Amino acid sequence: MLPLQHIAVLLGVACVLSGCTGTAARVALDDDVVLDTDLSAADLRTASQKMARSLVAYKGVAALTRPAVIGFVSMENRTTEDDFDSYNLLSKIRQLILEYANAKLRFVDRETIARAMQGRAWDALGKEDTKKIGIALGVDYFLTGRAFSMSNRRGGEREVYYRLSFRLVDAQTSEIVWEDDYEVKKYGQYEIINR
Amino acid sequence: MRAHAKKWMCGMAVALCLAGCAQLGPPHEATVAYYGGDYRAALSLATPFENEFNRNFALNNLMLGSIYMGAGAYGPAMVPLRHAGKVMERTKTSWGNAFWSSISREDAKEYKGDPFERVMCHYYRGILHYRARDYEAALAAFRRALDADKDTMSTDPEATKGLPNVHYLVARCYEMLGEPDTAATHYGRFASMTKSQVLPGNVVLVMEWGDGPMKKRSGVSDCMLDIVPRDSGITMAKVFVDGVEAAQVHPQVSLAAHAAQHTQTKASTIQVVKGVTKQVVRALAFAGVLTAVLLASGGNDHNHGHDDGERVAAGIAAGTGAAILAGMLVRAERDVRIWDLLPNDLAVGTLEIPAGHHHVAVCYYDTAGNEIPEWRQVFYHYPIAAHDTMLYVRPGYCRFGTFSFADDAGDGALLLDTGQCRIVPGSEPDLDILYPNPPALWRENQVDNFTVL
Repeated sequence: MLPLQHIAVLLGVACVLSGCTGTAARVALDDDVVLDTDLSAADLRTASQKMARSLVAYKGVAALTRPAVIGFVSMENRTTEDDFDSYNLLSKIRQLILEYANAKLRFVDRETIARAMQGRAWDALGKEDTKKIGIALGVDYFLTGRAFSMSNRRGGEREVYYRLSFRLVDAQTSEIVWEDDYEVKKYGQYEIINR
Repeated sequence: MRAHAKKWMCGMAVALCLAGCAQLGPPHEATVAYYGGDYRAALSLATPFENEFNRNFALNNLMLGSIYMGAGAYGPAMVPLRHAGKVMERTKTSWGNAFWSSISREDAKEYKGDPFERVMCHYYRGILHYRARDYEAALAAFRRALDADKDTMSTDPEATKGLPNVHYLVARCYEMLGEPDTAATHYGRFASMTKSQVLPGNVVLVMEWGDGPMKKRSGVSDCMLDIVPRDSGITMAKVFVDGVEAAQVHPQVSLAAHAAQHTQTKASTIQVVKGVTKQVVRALAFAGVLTAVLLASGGNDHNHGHDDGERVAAGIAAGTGAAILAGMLVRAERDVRIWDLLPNDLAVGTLEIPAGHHHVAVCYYDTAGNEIPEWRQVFYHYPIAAHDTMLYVRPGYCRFGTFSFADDAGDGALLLDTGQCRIVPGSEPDLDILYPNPPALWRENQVDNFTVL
């Protein structure tokens, strides 16, 4: 049996050395292991699922007698994340809609829409331009959205509110026929040593 | 057995000390090379630390970003600045870093910068996006810069208003994105903070010069931190377009003054509390270890053949040594790490320049109104778009061709190695350009193709 002093020294060395090794593990998709105030993968997945379910449940979709064609338009970024990837979010929503909609909804490829818009921003298109593009590509609706965030900070504390909103616009009338959003608020605080 | 335990402790102490000797960032020569305009050398010294995950990760990447931007390599600059920004904004810190930083060297913590450094990181990211005409991303970065200014512990309300320059650029982004109402709000904030007008124009001029502040320890046991400004001697700049004066530029922001605002009242109180706490912990560590070792030595009833006097003396020596070591581990000195490649003076404004390629010269002046010729910058065949262009000017040297101080002409003229351009200081720049057409390096709407890569 080792003397107490030796055990204490060995335990101390073990504690120091254990901080030198890294760890890696597989985690569930909806678990946020690294918590922070930015939008996480779990947020994007939750938002996608909510929007897809909401759109498929919209009474206009349920009443369809033939498959409707949806065209993707880019999503406006009004968050404070300059690397916000809206395409990934929209394509995830598209994938889920196709899964839930039971062939009632189809999509036109995003690049096709972009070519038809000829480099113009969605906001710059008027009602007539939207109608022409819709007719040319056989699009019944355009799906677009806006990501917004607002941050309150004070003395090392931070509260960030996010709102991801999506809307379905009738290509012929430019009316918004469906709209829904995903909201989340996050809180973070720097340790005292970093304030 | 006691001798072995002592050897273990000595070995651990040596290992702990040596662990602090690993290089955590670029050597000082990188900074010297940067200020000397040798960006290639600065990059070669700084790049190896880009992906070193140590407590200076963010600082190393900020430095690398500054070097890339100084060299005109705006594409590669985004990546290290983004990495640095992510780390600085992260509220979590590893418990080990937090523990050691609390009781020992404050710079054991992961570097996350002061609020003004976080602001500048996002500010530069915004500039890079704006130059690429990605107004959404630029807006996101500039808004983040406004938010980061509120991380201060200062109770001075002026310290949380955000930099006026950033408000101006936020407004410009909203304007480009077709949201004039929100743009007007931020233009209004800029105007009220700077007491100046916002003029229309197709060119947004973003300028910076001087040397950013440094940090210095002060007070008992160096437990206080002071912001130390560095005077560049430059008080204003003039912009000449095709030889004609287009603007006089006075700085709207002094980073040193802004950083000093963040150390008011409440922040100072926290500094004092930190300093006093560390001194108390230090004293307790010393006393505690000394007592423990003396008790262990004095309570040992085994007689190993030494008399009591020698055993007590050995115990006192071991206890004192261990206590001194414990006391040394508790340090009160403040963390003086700082992004030292920042400028001090920032300015923003608008110019109206017809679309096309133009020669733009920027000249800097001291308090007496004399030009400081070694700071002059000239941009040749700068492409100006009708709708929107950013003219971003930062300290550095002429960006077209290499730059020499050699006085071949004997009259103080600054010559390019190409020998095809001559700038005469002391008067309006004589842009005697001999290139009949823009060089092949220039591409439409891509400014400043000169890089050291």
